Amino acid sequence: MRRRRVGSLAAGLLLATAAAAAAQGTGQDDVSAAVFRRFAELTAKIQVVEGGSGAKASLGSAFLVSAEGYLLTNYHVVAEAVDDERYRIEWLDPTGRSAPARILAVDVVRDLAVVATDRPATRHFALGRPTVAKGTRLYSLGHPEDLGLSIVEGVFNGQLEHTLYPKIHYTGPLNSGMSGGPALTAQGTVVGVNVATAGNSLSFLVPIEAALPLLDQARTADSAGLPDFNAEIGRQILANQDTYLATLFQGNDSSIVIGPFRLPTQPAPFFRCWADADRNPDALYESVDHQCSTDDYIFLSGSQSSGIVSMSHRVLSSRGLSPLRFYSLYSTNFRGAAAAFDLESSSDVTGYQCRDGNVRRGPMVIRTRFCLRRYTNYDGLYDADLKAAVLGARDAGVVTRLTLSGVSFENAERLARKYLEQIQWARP
Amino acid sequence: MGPTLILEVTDHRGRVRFRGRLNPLGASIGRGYGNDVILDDPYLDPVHLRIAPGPDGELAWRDAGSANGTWDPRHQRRLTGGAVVPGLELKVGRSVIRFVAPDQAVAPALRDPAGGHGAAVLLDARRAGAALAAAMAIAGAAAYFTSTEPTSAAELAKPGLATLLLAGLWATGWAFTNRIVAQRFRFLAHWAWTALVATAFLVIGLGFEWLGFLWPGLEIQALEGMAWALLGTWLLVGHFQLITEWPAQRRWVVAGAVTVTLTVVIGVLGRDNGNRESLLDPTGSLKPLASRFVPTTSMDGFFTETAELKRTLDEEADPAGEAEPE
Repeated sequence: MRRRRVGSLAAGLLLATAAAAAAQGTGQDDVSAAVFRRFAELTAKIQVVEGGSGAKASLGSAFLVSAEGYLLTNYHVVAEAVDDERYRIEWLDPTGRSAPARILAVDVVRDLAVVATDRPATRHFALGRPTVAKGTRLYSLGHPEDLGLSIVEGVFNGQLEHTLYPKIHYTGPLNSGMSGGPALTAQGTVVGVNVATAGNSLSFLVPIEAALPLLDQARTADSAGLPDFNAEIGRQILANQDTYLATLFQGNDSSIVIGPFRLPTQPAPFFRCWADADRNPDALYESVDHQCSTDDYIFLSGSQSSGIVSMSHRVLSSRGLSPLRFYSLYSTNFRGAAAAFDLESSSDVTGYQCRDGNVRRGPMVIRTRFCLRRYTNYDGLYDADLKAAVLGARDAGVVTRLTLSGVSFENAERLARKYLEQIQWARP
Repeated sequence: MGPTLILEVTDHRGRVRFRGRLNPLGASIGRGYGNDVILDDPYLDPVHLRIAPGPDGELAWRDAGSANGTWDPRHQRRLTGGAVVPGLELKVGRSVIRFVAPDQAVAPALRDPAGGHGAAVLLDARRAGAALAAAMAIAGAAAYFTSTEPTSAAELAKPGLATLLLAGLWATGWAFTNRIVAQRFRFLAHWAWTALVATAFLVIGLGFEWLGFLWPGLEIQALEGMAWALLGTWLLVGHFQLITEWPAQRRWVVAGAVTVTLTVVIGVLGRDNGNRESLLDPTGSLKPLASRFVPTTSMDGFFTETAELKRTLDEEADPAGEAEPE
């Protein structure tokens, strides 16, 4: 399941209603009111405006983090305006006054961005490395559904355990539009930045420590000149994936035996796996599905993401189908093999290029199709899709698929190869 | 004096209107009823030209002072007279008079499909019956081997019966056409051929599935398209034989032109307009063949080829690189 980012205009009404009901149940009105009074003026609304029509393309929240008047927000709030002259960024202070803002620094991996207001701030939040106990009450500020600055109470529930990037599990009803707003303690210590929700008050914050280096980068950019953001984003993604992809499919991963095959599963703790089997007693075959996918991804744009690794296996076993008939079934499954995660189509990628082969690996022959497409706006990033089917058994087969989004060609090829090496006969 | 020549007159459409032996004592040609060769061409004089033996006994012709004259049809020159020799052509009015030697070679006889060769092999009822039975059996087998559910005999008979029914409808149309054109009604042969051709398409498809399985790098769709085009051309040639009197070469040329045109039209209509997501799904089939019989490539070999993908994509994504001459 993909988490919803809370910065987009396209928010579900259902979620908004449920969140409102949850908010009514909480108490401590006096503390909330005090936090709101003290810190409301340090927050801002950010909107990305389409230059031609003046229509809002996205909106989110932000907060002042430096005396220069820098605002911290989420990358996904301002992503539309990165390297695209058709969009401009506006910020609105709590009184509703609007002024242009410009992006100084972005961290796509952590989903953070610093924008300059070009108006010095008399007061701002001080950023640090807070230590907070699980259960501590936090207050989130932001503009849910563009309904005006709001305060939301929630509870700090520690860092997420199985995740690609550090994230705080926050139990509080975040909504679309609150992205980029601060989550702070009653004393005013910022703990994290509102970033995503999975609904039902299950929400996520970016730990505030991640913003410290970004603030330094912003100061440098402000004085020395802005970087080429698309190139910078490409660099960040490539640097990041070298660390998290390096450990996958190295031969010491967990494996699972389904039918006559030994197959890779759960390559890292940040993968989530699930399974399903179809064993209809009247059918002439049975099929077992096993899928794993990263639970997290890097937002690049509305239609592009990076960092998704997903794999799916379907093991088919014959129960009385002759080999020709079984292989007809096998072919159909190979042609239409579902991915655990479907890569979206987008105008910012090339079409796919594919290569087919019957690949021999020891005693095993694997029909393989390897497809690749390239991101047109970020250099060196590709989506890869590997489909494979083990040949040679007359009554059993496995169709397996590996999908990688936003990886370097070298990583795509290395992982595809390692993945194929993990597919083995269970009985030697 | 040479052998008696043949005089042949063709009209403005090239159709022969008169053919006969030329009298060695001479002849007159014109529109009038007193001529030896009477031509119904309004541009001719009543007596247009005369042919008579000269002092040496050789035949010579002379224009009889005609209003429109006598012309050399190849060079558009007006002529007044000359020797009559084999191969001489004279244009009078809208007609052409040709003198032909009796030993002039003629084209071989057109092969009549009714003559017991080619398509007529299925005129025999037993053979036609066998062809229909084979078509039905192959359709049934194909249905059986592609089904993955428990199947009954009735289920398996369905595709065969459907094939025979459709083939029968098609054959009815052609059998009647053939009766109009050649006064022959041969439904059974038409039916058997149609069913066999439908089966051929099925078998070609199966053959290419195996090719695509064994050699995944082959441009299998292009090859299959060519096979279909060839079969289609051959079918057209056969049908032209039924309804025209064209010589073989002309039948093949016209059928080839039709196939090429259709291929181009289908190619243009079917062009994949940027929907390249569909490329993700392989088109080939897997076959139950022991691994040792499958031609394979090593892991290294396969991933060496994928570097080619990267090059292609980088060129596509980088217009500057694309603009460079190769």
